Amino acid sequence: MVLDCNRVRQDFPSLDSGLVFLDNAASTLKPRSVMEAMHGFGLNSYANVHRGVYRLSMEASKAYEDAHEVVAKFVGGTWEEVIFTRNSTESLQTAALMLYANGVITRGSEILITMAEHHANMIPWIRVARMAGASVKMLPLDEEGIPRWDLLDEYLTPKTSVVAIGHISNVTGSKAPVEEVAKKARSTGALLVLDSAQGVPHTPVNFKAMGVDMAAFSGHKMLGPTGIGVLWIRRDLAEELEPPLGGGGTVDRVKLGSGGVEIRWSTSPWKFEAGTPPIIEAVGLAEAVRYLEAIGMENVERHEEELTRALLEGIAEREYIDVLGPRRPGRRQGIVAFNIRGMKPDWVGLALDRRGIAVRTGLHCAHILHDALGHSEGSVRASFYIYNCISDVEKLLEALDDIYKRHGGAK
Amino acid sequence: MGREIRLTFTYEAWSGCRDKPSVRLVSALMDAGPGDRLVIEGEDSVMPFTLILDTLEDEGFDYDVEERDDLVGTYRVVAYRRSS
Repeated sequence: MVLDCNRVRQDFPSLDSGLVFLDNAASTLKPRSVMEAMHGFGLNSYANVHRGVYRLSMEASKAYEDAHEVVAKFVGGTWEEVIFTRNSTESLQTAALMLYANGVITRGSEILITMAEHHANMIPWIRVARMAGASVKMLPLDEEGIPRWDLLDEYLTPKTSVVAIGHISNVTGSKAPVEEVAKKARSTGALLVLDSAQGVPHTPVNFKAMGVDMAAFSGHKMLGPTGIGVLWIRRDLAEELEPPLGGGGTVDRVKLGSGGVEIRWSTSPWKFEAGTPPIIEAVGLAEAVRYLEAIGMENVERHEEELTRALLEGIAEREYIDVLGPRRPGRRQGIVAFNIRGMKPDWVGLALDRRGIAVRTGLHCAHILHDALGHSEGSVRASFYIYNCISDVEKLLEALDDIYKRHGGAK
Repeated sequence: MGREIRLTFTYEAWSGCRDKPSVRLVSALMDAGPGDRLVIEGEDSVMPFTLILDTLEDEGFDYDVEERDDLVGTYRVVAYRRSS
């Protein structure tokens, strides 16, 4: 089956105006079915989940639990491994705090990340390292902004407690060799945490088969609503770890014992979901997963590869454009960051908006990566999804020519 | 009598500013009602003159270029929302 982008577009009313939406790495548009599922559930089936002894609460609990199951199957896991959070950033933050609180990250230990990380997978580790007296090591980048995976053996030491890497870079679009990193991390006894915010929405994923211990992704980057993300934790690890947040829903029993308050934690995922969870959002995320499954993630990946190839080929014919990251097609997934020589990214973004094209401009929460590539003022980022067609690439290239002709060299 | 909305796109005004000039410009244009007077002063190195004029035209504004120095790259433009 081939993905029919023109058919898909019909499910996204935001595109009816002719908008060319190329800001998908930041957040995707929502299909009708997701909004209808949330709307219907919110109006007819909503109540707080768990422990309600009335039918409405039981129905809501069932829908909420089913959402865990649907999402788990999508990433090759079981429902106990899927913890709903607010977004990828909160998932990674939770992972970092949890590994610190559970004595995995200790004084003198090392956390290995790369210089290409999004701040969501950088700042939480730097913070817990400071709290614990541990250190963060950064794998350097090659001239295309790809982490030097060939140096992994040098950077991994017996002191490495956690390796935390991005699955697909939100700037260069390059994909990490996750299985290889997992194997090496395991050989030194380190845990592998994967920032899959740009992975799960765009490529088939099976975390267990990849050898990942923990992974994070967001609902809103994969057709789902904002306000829900996932922290996936390998089941045996999830059973072992104490949650970083406590409160309602996280415990089986709290008692006043002779030595003070005794807490018996609930099982995963409930012990990790403190307080009332994102119930309506979970229903929306499950519907988004069903939508993607109906298309097939192999088709999603292939479609984005075609669009990326077309854009890179078009850019190669234009000397005035500098691309960040690999120029060769096949080495990146659905994301192309670039600059027009002599123009600031902000100007290009504004000029593209005037022409009905939505992109993101700036440093994309990856300041160190931009500095390393010599683009300290940021870049223009075009990122694709299932409702983009080749005609969108053509419109972007035409618009860039027009913008360069009209405004180029103004800097 | 409308308001006067001033936009200053100079290096001095924008160095160290986290906001994006394009966002400030478009927000101000969206905010401006009939009768409001927009005074836009700046430098090409912060926000190009041609981009300001294109945006004003796209958003339905009449404008007068009060000052323009092509060599130094500075400008002062006064704009009003076109009456429908």
